[in-house]
Amino acid sequence: MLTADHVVARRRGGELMIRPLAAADRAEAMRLAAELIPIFRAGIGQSREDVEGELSTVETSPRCQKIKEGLVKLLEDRCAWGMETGFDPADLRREVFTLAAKARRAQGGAARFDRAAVLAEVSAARGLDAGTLERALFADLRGASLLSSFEPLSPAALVEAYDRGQVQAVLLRAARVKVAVACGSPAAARALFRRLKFLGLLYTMQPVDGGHELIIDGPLSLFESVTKYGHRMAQLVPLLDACGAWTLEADLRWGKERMPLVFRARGGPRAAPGAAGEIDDDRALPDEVSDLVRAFRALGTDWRVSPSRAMLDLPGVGICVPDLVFTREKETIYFEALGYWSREAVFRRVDLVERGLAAKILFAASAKLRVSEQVLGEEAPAALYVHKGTLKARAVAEHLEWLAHRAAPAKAKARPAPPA
Amino acid sequence: MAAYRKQRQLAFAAPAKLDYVEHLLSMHRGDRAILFTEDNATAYEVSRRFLVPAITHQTKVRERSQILAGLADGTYGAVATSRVLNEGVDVPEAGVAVVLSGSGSVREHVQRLGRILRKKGEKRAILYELVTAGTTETFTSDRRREHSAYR
Repeated sequence: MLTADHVVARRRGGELMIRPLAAADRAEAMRLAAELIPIFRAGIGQSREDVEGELSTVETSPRCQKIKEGLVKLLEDRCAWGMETGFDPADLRREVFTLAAKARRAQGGAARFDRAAVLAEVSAARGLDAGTLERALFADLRGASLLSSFEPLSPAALVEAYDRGQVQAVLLRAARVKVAVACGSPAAARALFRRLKFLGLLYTMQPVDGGHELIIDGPLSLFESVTKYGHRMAQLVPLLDACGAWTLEADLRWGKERMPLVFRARGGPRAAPGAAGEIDDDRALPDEVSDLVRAFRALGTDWRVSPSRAMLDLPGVGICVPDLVFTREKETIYFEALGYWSREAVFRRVDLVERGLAAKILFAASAKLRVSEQVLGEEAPAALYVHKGTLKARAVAEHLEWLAHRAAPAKAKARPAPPA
Repeated sequence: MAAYRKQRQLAFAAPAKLDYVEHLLSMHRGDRAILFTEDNATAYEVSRRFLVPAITHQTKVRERSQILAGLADGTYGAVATSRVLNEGVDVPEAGVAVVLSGSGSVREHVQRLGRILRKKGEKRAILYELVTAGTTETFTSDRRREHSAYR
């Protein structure tokens, strides 16, 4: 993924505008892509230092240097790097350097330090040949890591990823993103919302004429883990592309000065690799929720748990998309994990409940957010489970019991997702 | 840019400099020495060639602590480092510093000197500066020694 440093943009007033590749620059980008891809393809088994050496031989004008760096970054994201040996290099170093220090202290006045003898002694003790030992000694350094695999693509696909990456990189500096998307079908809409949940993006959603409006918290609005959230945020663009035509307006904090700027983009519909399709089983769940499901089932309670397909709509206020649904006889309780990124997200859910969300729901939020379970009153058809560390199945079961004994919401407004 | 980097690399790790390091390590084999370099690549080259531990920003905290403890207790006679040991590290046992390369910063140079001037008995500290003749390093060296500590 590109970073904000790779973005080629200009400012006009309070707006940031990406500078699209001019024809000549696009041709240069294609030429660079065509030269860079084979270096990675042929670099399997080579060290990072060697691969980087090869990359440095691909020359371009100073004007296009940033384009080259962006293309290289995208290609590096398609690589896997590993270490050569099964030895712990730090252990090897300790052994070799300790022996070398002893040997040096023991050497006579005119004698030269015998490096080969030290390496030979450790090699023999470890059952290695000297060459392997030398390579293993610093195998944990970044430059010594070996290219173990590379996922190739065509030069045209790389340049297309570069174009898209510019928008994604800008969004890393967003405090808030407003998206209007016209989903091609109800199934596409459902797939989008489920994927957003899967990514753990914090959003509110409202149906509007011709589609949906999403307000998504940007990485710069968050409590912590900005980078991790930003990487997830970057996946928004391909998701929107796969869903339908979209427009986006982001409030940015740009540059070192964190200057407030607005950024606008539009796109879709077009196929985006890995973004289309809906998954309805446990694989659609974020890892921490998936772990909870496993642990909850192992408890052996009489609650049944499954991924939720519902969208709980409170017209004029917003839609809530739970992660799970717990059922027992006629009782249904939804569950949404809010994670540890934003207190605002918790308060928005409280607002939804207070304004009449008509379904029983349990929210889970990290204790890092410093919110109290008391923010939802005892009469509310919803509860907040504040957890330290991971989601605990037993604590969830207890909260479900409390909720089960509360009165059902006055008027059931929850509606299932539209049929596929 | 690549040529500039290559030129700097040649000056920082000139073969004659490295040969002289061998001589210094041999001469001070009973002492504790810190070998300062400008960049990580040279620190690792020194480490690889003379089989002395290196501390750079890539060194994990645990290994770094183990190396410094090893230098203090005499397990190691020398440590190569780039800029990370310039400040904030106290190894009173170290009495020899070899500056293989560095910037023109007076502050950096004084801090490096400070690493070996920690009081320890009747210790006498020695600082060597290796400069590749006929390169820009000579000017860099002059600049960094513009301090009363070197006059």
